[in-house]
Amino acid sequence: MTLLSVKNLRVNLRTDAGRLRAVRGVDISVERGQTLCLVGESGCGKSMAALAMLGLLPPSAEWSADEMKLDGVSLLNAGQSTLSNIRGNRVSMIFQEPMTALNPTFTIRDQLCGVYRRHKGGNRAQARERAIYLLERVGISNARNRLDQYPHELSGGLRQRVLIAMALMCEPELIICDEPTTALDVTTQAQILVLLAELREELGMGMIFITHDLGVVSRIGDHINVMYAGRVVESGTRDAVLGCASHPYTQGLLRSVPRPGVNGLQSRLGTIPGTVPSFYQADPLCPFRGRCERKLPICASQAPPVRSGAGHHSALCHNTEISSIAGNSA
Amino acid sequence: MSDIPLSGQTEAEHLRTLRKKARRRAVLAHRGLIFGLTVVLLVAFVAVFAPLLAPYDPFAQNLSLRLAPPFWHDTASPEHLLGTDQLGRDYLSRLIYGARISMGIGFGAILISGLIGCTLGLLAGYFGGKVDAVISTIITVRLSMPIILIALAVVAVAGASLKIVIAVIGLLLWDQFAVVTRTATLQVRSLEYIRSAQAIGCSLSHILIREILPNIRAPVIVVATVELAHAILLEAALSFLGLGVQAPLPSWGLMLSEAKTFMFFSPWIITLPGVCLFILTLAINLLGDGLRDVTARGK
Amino acid sequence: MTMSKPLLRAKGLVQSYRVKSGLLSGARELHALKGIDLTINRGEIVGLVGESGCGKSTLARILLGLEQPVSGTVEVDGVPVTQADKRARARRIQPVFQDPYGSLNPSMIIRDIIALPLKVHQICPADERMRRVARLADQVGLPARLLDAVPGELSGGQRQRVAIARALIIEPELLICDEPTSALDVSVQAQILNLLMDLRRDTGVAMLFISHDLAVVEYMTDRMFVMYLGQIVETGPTADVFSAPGHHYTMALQQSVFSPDDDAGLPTTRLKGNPPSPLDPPTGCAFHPRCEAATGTCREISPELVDLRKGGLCACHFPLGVDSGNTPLTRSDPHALRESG
Ligand SMILES: Nc1ncnc2c1ncn2[C@@H]1O[C@H](COP(=O)(O)OP(=O)(O)OP(=O)(O)O)[C@@H](O)[C@H]1O
Ligand SMILES: Nc1ncnc2c1ncn2[C@@H]1O[C@H](COP(=O)(O)OP(=O)(O)OP(=O)(O)O)[C@@H](O)[C@H]1O
Ligand code: SF4
Ligand SMILES: [Mg+2]
Ligand SMILES: [Mg+2]
Repeated sequence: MTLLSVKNLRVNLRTDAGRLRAVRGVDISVERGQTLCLVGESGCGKSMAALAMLGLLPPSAEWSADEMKLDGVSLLNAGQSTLSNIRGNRVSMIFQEPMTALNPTFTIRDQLCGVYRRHKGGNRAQARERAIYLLERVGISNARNRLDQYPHELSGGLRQRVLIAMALMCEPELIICDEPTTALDVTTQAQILVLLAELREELGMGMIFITHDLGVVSRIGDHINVMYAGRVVESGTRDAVLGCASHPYTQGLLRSVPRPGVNGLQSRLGTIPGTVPSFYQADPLCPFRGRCERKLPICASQAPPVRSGAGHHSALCHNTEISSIAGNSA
Repeated sequence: MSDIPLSGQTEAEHLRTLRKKARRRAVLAHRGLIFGLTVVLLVAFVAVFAPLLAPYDPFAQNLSLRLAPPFWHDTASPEHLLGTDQLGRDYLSRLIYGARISMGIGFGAILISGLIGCTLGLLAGYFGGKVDAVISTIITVRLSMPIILIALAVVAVAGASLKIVIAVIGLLLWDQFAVVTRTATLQVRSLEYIRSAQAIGCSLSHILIREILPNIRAPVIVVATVELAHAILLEAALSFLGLGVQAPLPSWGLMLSEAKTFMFFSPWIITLPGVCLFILTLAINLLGDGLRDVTARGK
Repeated sequence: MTMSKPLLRAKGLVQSYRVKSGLLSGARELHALKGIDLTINRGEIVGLVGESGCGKSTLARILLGLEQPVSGTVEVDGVPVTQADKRARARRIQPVFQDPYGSLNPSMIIRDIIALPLKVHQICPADERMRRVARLADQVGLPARLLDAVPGELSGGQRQRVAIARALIIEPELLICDEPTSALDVSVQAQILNLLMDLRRDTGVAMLFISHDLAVVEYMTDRMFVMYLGQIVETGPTADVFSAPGHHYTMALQQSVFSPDDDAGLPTTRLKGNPPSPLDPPTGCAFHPRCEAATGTCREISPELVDLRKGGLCACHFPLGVDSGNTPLTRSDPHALRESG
């Protein structure tokens, strides 16, 4: 059974300038033991989608969805108490900013054990044992001594490891990582990615991995949702989306990444001209049409259809053929 | 339905107008701000146009008509709306000219103290290190001085005149300006546009005045309003003690002081300047609070 | 290779800061730069890579004259520059900073921001100024209608174009770009990188291009420096450094760069541990606690930059691709080294 399934998720934010439509009908489905990557550029609604799934949206937000099921049980009408029972317990989240995601006034022990005892009960010693086990597991040396340190005494990489350990305290079924490595150095990023992948394997969790880095996606994703202006414009297995990108936006993104072994004197990078459309207008037409080089007359008058191909590969576009190979993972 | 999506700039312009509208709505919805602004503008107007608005010469005495009560008394004199004082001078005219003195001293003093405080705060925040240490010490010393006592001592020694009162108050009230400017400058100093200006080769005064000051104006304006009220009250207190504005100049504080002997038989004579003072300082403080609310919201 | 008169030459730059590490402990010395030598030739793009906190921005600030080094010199055209000729230096060396949101004065309009250097250096009359601004805005691809906007109304990429235009308007010979694209999305980054390449072709301006993204450095630069904890650990023509990295750290960096074409699965990172704190740097080679190949020599003796191949230097006792058996490559007397380090 699908671990998490969300259909037609919408999130609006009330702002001074009107209603900002941050997420405009997004479908998400994650299987156990699989990683779904949400990729897209800054502001496309990745974080808002993730926060909506946890019921952690800011107060100015309003959301709706046709379906939201965790392990087959609908969360749509769940109350706050059910949700907070799920948060940090069955579903946990690792936030983007390792510097601010930990409370500076509590020790590592307080924060790790707090989560555990809130959800699983158990006594102090049990919680401590688990904390030490996990800190060691995420690669923190002399974990016993680290327990009594405060977050500001740790470097960025260590803090991110502590956050991962904290997210794992209650053995979640699903872990949502919101750009967990963006603030880190490349070498630390590589270490953290390996760690997350190993842990997912070991614990059989489902994982949603949010990032804007297509390179990271290629290493960690099983399934990819490419987002643009609040919508998923292309979705499929990693090999399908990165190998046979079908949506003009995905193709443009892939062309704009500098590749190893290429120098600017030999070739220019591909660019996507123009800027993102307004977030304040409800617009059923293709959000990419103002920047698209394959635009057809129909793009300006009719909403784009979902074109699908083998292996769940689909793109939201008038002018595309899905010719991809079937993905090797379901 | 528009075909072409809004391009970057029209979108930005659109948002700008929407934000402006939202800001205007927030201002209009803020009752304290509106009340404060109205009263302050009104008093400022009265102060500026005092000669045109005052029905009588505020110094003209009419000893035959002393302590005439204001209009709500049965025995009120029809010529003097708010009655006359112990020397038979028209009270309304004196209050109007009093607004002039209060506002003049208030603005004069915060101009001086703002200049001193902002300069010190900018220098301390921008240079940090030893400069900051020295200026912080000066601020601490200033904060530990009792304002009223110092003012009394100085005025007693230097003599009381309008200029001296403005100077004394101005030289005493800069501390909040310095504290707030320093903190705000510290925050802005490390931003890259300051570094860019340095790398371009801009002069120190350009960096302080053109690059930093405009970007910290919001907290400075809030402090200025609070200090304006403070200065006006301080002037009233000094005048009340006989060390501020000297008779026959009509200052609200001085009027309170002169009225205190007559207040049992003619209570309005002390109530009227008191009420004026109260409403004006309340309005200025509300204005300051309102400005703070509105600017904080914009961020 | 004639190295007669490089545009910029930095020699033995050392910088340290006094920092308070705790509430009760006193101030300690943080060595941000430990003797950096660097040259940039005319019209060349030189890359500088390294992890967060290794001192890249510190070096940039010193080259720009925003900070005085504890020791070491900076020469422009063979002439040492001092604090005194700040304005002269500003005319020749200009920065492009990382944060497109912090690098423009929010209360000035774009036109004035771009024109500011002309005004400060009194280069031309006001009407000519505006003509130049318009021309440059066109050159960096900034729509003319944005010239009257304030920075708050521009997107990150547009702001970075403004920053580049401002830096270029007094026609400097060297641009110091401190991570100019690391706050931008990939598609915007591509536009800015293309722009910088075009500008270099059209104006011949030299650049020091600082980044932590190896793929970007490979794309942009002719020659590169790799920095680790305040020291240069490897340098050489970019193509050589990439095809045959000598330092183990360079190798680790290279392995941490992911490209969307890879389906190599998880990265094969061989790095151990975390980046060390600059407050107590490791002894010997600063990289030894994380290095696979580290031996006792590495723990004790700090390696010097030595010739690895033609035009390339590397500071490692056991550089990659050089079969040196168990004898360290460093030729100098270890005791002399310890004293100088
Ligand atoms: N608290 C908020 N109030 C109003 N608008 C918001 C708020 N938070 C985010 N937004 C807007 O909502 C949209 C989606 O934001 P979101 O944080 O989901 O983007 P994202 O894809 O996570 O971007 P990033 O990669 O920068 O994290 C953006 O346009 C953003 O400006
Ligand atoms: N003004 C300062 N006072 C104290 N320490 C400083 C100061 N400036 C820099 N440092 C320290 O010097 C070291 C080098 O900093 P620098 O900013 O040059 O690194 P960087 O390589 O640019 O890093 P990043 O990639 O994060 O920008 C860091 O450890 C930093 O904490
Ligand atoms: S629907 Fe049309 S405009 Fe949109 S991406 Fe496809 S071709 Fe381009
Ligand atoms: Mg986000
Ligand atoms: Mg830096």
